[in-house]
Amino acid sequence: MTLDEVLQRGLTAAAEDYDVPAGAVDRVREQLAPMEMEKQTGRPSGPTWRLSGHKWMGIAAAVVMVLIAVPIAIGGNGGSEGGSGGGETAASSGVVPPASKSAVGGSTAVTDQQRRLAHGPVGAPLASPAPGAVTGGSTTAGGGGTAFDANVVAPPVPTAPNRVVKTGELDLQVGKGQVGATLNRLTALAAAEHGYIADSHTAEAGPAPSGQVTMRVPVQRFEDAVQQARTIAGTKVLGLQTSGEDVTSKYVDLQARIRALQATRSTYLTILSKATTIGETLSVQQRITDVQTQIEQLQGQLRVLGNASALSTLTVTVDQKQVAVATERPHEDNGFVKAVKLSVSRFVHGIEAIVGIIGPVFLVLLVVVLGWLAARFGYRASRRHLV
Amino acid sequence: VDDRDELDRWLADSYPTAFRTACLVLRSPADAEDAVQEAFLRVWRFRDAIPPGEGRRPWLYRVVVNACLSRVRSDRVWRERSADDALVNLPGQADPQHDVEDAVLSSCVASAVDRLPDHLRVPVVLRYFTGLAEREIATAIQRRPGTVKSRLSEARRRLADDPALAAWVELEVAR
Repeated sequence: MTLDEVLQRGLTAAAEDYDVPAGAVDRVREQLAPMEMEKQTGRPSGPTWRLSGHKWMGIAAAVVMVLIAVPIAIGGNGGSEGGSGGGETAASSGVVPPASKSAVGGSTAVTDQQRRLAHGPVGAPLASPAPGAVTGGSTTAGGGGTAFDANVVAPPVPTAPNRVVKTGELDLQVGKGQVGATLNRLTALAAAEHGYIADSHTAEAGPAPSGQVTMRVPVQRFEDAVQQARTIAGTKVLGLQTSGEDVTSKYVDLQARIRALQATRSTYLTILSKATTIGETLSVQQRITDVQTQIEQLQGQLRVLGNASALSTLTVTVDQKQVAVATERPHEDNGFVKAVKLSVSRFVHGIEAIVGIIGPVFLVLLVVVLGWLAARFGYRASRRHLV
Repeated sequence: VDDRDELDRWLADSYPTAFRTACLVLRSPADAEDAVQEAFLRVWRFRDAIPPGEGRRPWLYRVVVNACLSRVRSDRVWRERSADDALVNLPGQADPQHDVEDAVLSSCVASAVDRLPDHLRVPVVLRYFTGLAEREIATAIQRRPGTVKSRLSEARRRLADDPALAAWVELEVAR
């Protein structure tokens, strides 16, 4: 079975899930009756003076322009408020034109309740009043019907909440002994912004105390948190870097892939229930396991992305201001001074060398004396034995 | 079409297919009924413009598609469609009297087709459900046949990448 056959069979089956509403054709006929009456009574029919949605929008836009232009021309700045107000009104009426139904001959007589009753539950049997003649066959395109506009343009994008991953790095400098206090203030700030400290480390001992905290705050409060952090009393901002990445498309894509994989899993489960041999069963089970693994991986990515886009990350580094140590600038000496210094230096080095050599010499002398005494003692003792 | 009775019969006969075509485009029976009613009223109003012979069928779907796209462009339908998109059409939602395999297949295909953008979904529905030829689809959506051909090709490419549909094709071939 090729893709074409799968599509044909699947779409036909999907279409049959939609029950043709009972009495729908009669309701169309009811709508047609007034039109026929008009025609029979001689009133103009056909393309009467009815404005299309585009024309209504054009008129609305012209009215808005006039509403904006007139106050500006008369009162200068005073007209801006009225103009913008008019624009909003026109925009709302333009997006959802109220004349969309009336343009085809009056409002429809079918209420939502009637429709629901007519459609019934999804699983109800079909009630098609007449079989639709669905046959293929090519034909030359007819040329009539210029009254209809069939511009296939992209529909308006549905308003989905944007998902933006926001991160920032802030470098602060504080006075002596203020690192700990500043870090405490940052911790309190994270709590006040309904966030938390994800990471923190300090090095307050030593000549250059410093600390760093990583705050996670709700993405809606990111800018406020940055502003609060950079205006902490007693601090000086050395650097600030923020960035934002729109991950809405990634998020939506992950959701779509998960849905598709879930549909695939359902397919395999159905096929599994129809498997008749062990080989088929094992094969399908393996596929289900693979799909399930992919679903879990994507769900993990979705969670990570959701977390990253829900909570922004602000890393604040706090350093203590360093006291400038005055370094003595070496200056050039003249030749005589250099010679004296060199002489003194060499004298000192000579003394050092003499002192340094005394130790070994003394050690050698000590060994020699001890050896001589030992020899002398031994010689006398041997003479006493002989005598 | 001069004979009003014949036009009435033709529209009545065409209603089920037109309604289901609109359902596949809009994924909402209520909106589909409104769209088809609107389209049929237009057809009746401009019946003098209906081309004779075989040309009237694509002409009818041109009007139906226009009515559907008008509704797609409205915010109300988009809100409902966005809400529907959050749900996956699982087999359990299908007609229990259907063969279970057809129910699963219809769910997979409908979900995959629904993820296509409108300019690809409409030709696919007209081709594979309504059964229009490429030239008739060109009439229905007022585009050149070459454009229809490329859109159908692009739609097939995207649908072939859909894992659920790919699994179906693979398993059917394996059988």
